[in-house]
Amino acid sequence: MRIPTLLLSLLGAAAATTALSHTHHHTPQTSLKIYIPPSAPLPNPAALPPQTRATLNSLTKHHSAPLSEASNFHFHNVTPGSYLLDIHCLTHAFIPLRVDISSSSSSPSSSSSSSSEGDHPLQIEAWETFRGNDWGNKGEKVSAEVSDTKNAVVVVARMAGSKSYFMERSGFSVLSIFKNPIILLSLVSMGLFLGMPKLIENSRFPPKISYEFFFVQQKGGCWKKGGIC
Amino acid sequence: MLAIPSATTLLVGLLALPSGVRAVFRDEVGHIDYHHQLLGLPQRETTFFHRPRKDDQGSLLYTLSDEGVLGAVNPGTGGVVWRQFLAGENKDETTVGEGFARAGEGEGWVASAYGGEVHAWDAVTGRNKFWARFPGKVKDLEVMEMTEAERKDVLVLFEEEEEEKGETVLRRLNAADGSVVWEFREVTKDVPLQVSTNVEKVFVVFLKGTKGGYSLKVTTLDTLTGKRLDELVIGTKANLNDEQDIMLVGANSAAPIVAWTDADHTTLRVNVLGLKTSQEFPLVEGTVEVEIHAPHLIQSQPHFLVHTKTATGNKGEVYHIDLKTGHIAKAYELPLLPGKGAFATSSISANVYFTRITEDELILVSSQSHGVLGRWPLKNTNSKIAPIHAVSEVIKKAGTDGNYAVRSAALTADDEWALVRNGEVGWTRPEGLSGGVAAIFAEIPESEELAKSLEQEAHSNPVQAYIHRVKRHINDLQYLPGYLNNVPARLISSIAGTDVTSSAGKLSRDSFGFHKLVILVTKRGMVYGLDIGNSGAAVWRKRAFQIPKGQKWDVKGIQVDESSGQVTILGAKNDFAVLKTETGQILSAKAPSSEATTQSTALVDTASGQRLLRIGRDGKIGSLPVDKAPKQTVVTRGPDGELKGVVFLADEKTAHESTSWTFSVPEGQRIVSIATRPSHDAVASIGRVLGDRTVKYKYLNPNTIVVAAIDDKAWTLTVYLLDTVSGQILSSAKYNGVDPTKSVECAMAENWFVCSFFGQYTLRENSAQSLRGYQIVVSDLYESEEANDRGPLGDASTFSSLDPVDVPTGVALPSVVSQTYVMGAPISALQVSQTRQGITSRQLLAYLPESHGIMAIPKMLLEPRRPVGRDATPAEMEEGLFKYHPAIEIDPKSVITHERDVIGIKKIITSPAIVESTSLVFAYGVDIFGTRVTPSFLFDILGKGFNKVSLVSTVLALFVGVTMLAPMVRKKQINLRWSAPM
Repeated sequence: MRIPTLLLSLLGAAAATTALSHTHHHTPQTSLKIYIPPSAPLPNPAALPPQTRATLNSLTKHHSAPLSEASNFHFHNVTPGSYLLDIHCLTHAFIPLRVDISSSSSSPSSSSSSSSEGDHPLQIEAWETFRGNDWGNKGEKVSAEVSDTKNAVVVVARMAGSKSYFMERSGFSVLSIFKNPIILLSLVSMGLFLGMPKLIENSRFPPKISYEFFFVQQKGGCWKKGGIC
Repeated sequence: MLAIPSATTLLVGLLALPSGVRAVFRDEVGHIDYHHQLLGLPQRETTFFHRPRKDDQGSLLYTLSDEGVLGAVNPGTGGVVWRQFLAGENKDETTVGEGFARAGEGEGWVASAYGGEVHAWDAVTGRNKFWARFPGKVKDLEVMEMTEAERKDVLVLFEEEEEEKGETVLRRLNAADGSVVWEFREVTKDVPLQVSTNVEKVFVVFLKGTKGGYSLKVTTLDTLTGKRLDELVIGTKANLNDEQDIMLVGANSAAPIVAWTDADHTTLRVNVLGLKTSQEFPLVEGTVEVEIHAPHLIQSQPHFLVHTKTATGNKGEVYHIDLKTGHIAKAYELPLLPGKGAFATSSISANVYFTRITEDELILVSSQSHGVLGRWPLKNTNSKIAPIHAVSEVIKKAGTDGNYAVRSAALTADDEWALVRNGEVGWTRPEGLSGGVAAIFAEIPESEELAKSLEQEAHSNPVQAYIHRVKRHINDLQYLPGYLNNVPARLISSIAGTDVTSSAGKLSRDSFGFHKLVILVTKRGMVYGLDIGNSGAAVWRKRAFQIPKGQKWDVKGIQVDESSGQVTILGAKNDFAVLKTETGQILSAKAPSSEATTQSTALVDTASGQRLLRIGRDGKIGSLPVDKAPKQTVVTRGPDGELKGVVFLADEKTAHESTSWTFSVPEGQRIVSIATRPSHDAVASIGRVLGDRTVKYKYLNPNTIVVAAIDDKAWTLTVYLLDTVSGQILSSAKYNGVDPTKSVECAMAENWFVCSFFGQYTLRENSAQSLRGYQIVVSDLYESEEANDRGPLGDASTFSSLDPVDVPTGVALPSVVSQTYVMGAPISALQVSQTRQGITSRQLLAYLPESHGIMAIPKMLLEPRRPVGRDATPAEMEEGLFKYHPAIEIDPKSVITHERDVIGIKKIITSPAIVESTSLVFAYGVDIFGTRVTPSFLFDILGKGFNKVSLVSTVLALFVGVTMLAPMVRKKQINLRWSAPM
């Protein structure tokens, strides 16, 4: 997909509606919790560094929340809109999520509907999203449910894995030399070059025979004449 | 048959390598990089010792600094346990020190307030317990030591300003979850100052009236409901002129007080909160500052200490409050001692102790009597400790009666934070390095004698020069034994791969150019010389100016003159300082005036060499002497924010400024970022060889700047490329759906520039698709659209932006190729790596404000010519292009700060080393971080990965083998000669 740089159209209708809500007093607000569950790369979320933060971003809006003791991110006073949720962590990478907060209760969705901090029924849905892809291209839906005592919606974060910052030094080992086919070939040819003459010599002339052969050659006549020289 | 990978996959694999950038090796950590994990200067009211777990014995040292960093420090080692960068989330400028931090005795959390946010943090882990944001600004924060419930709650005083009518709101927050227990609101013009509590009441102190004749108003509230019980106005006899003169202390103590002095500091008036009357006490002659120290615990005795500072010394007076009558009586006084000193309060159950730190000793007294409980002379003080303020922890040793142990953390006059343990300096933290406003690399000056004698040789006749030289060499022989002594150590360290630290703290250059100085200027008026060859340790520190509290040293320009070894710092208030780079000796300086006169500075070439030019307000420079007038066009900002090109026209002795062009952005737009090419921007090749052996020529105009202007209403960003000689727009691009509330930044180098922003828009190509996220746009400039074409200028070695070209197309405009990428995180402080010749490919260095790291993005990845929607052809692959993918995730391998948590970086600077492969990087802001980057790998020197031990052992093994085989071979040959012929 190509993102045009010079040829961009005006804002889409969807984007415009979310971004136009500037006034804070009369727009409905909600609370939102992001929960980091234990997972394979991180069995114990309590091990995450304390400076881990989550951000919700959309045009002219920015929310940020610190990591809590219970491995949650608690967002307050979030207005309706479609947000990009990122979790910024030093040790682990997380999958970006799309979080939609809409006031329309018309679409019957099984996922959630909550009322908090202002008695406005707001619906929160979350999906995986793909960076550099169409915003409408939603991935797998992420569970978002009211499971909190304070009626806040809890979205479960997805971890991509732990971050490895360092390069491995390729250690030197003698065996690795012998894995090289060129070294193997040259070893074989060296073996042939050095070993062959000896092999030929040894197989053709065993010591005894060669002595006799030498004797025969030197004094061959004597032998035939009856053994007296 | 063998499975041989096809040629194409091999090629892809090889070419994908550069995009997988060179990450840091684990054994290089601390070898090529260094990091000062800083907090900022601890503030007097927000620094304390606190036991994070009730049952544990150990306590930690907590502080909320002037940089807005809340942190816990291990008092034993001085290491950071955890940090939270509160100012990072509050982008709106709150003035210095406007943060509050408190901890409840015996509670496992620390509460903080910054801007409009209130947080509670777990005292051990640094995790958030709760947080809340309210409208307005926090004026005070207090922990209620005694409540009706088991827990201790948090009181937060807010000031809301809405259309000139101020509203004061006091909220009591439940410390368990941050919910509001009760709220007290009052619409008033009075300025809220502080909240205090004692056992049964909550007091809110207001400042009533106008400047010059203030009085105090104390409102008493019920702790349970927050209902108003009483309101008192305390007459100040028109002696209270300034908010600065009020001291409010003893919150939570049995008898909280408020005290103030008159403008001349002759008398101190103290009021016990809840009473109508105040008492007067005379102050020492020549008092310049008064501080009051009182315990913060309800069970502590109601005693307080008045610390008066004169210009030359300081003294303390201890007062006792009678709880029944509210009468204050002076108990005893501590003598006036010369020099700087600090007092700290500590309490053990009901007993209150005062610790006094002077420049040469630590004294412990009880609040009851003036008998000295302990006295420790300060030992092993390499640098003299001149304490400004301190906090102390007193432990009464069990068993041995009357024995105490004291540790005090003191902020010194040199902006250092030192811990003194029973008189011994445990550790010092260079907190003054935080708050950097300007920094520059400087070469280590060569020894002056050598330079002088070389100069002498150059100017004398050959014979004399030769004799001089021989004499010099004979003279140098005296250093030979020392050098020879050093050889084994150097050899061993070279083989073992450890660093040879520059011996005896002497600065010396190295052959690779890695040993340099960084001159760092902080907002507090300090200048530091950091040796980056020695882990960024401070070689010298100098206070250039005493900056008044609440103000910043606004540095507009910094320049190093390598030939004279001097650094020049220009400030906004017509101030300057010239220092020696090697020693920090201040050669000349002029203190800031009261008014800002300087808009910015520019580094220009003049007839008398390179010079830092001061640009006045509204872009006025004024006339200059001919030899100091810049040769180039200077770009300034006019009174309405427009850009002006200023040239200097010389008559006989003076040069007069003259505006040659003006560039105003359309109405509604405001300029948010300007990027210029770095002053050292070596370009190795003027063209780029394409896969088909044709060449695309780079547009390398040194007189170009990038201007990014945003429209706050239409949410559009327009990026202009300007020619600074003619003021002409060479290229412009408009981006829709750009967030004006988030940062927009640009950077420029060679023939390309980048801009980053947050964008949210629908695509023009496909209106059904929309996009949002942090983005970076990269634009490459070429001389012509076509390859092998040098555009209208052809091979001309010079050109003028002003004169028309002899071709009908007019002025040569660059051909721009752009591409947008979506970043995985916001980026800021953009900078491009610099190398000596510019042969090495470049990296874009960017700070990640959310993930607290610095990322190095290879230019190869940010390539606008990457093929879109298809795989790269073999020709393109040969060129290093690979298929375009819009997303650039934050690859941990490209994070040069790796596992380090680097906070608050405001700017990154780079400098070339002597070796071409390497660029030196230095980042400052709150933390200090420096490293070396090698964008095209380490191709000209041996890295740490080169195993010298195995090389030497191989050579030795071969030598042993040869010496053992030689006699055998000789023997065999001799035997062969002597053997009977066959």
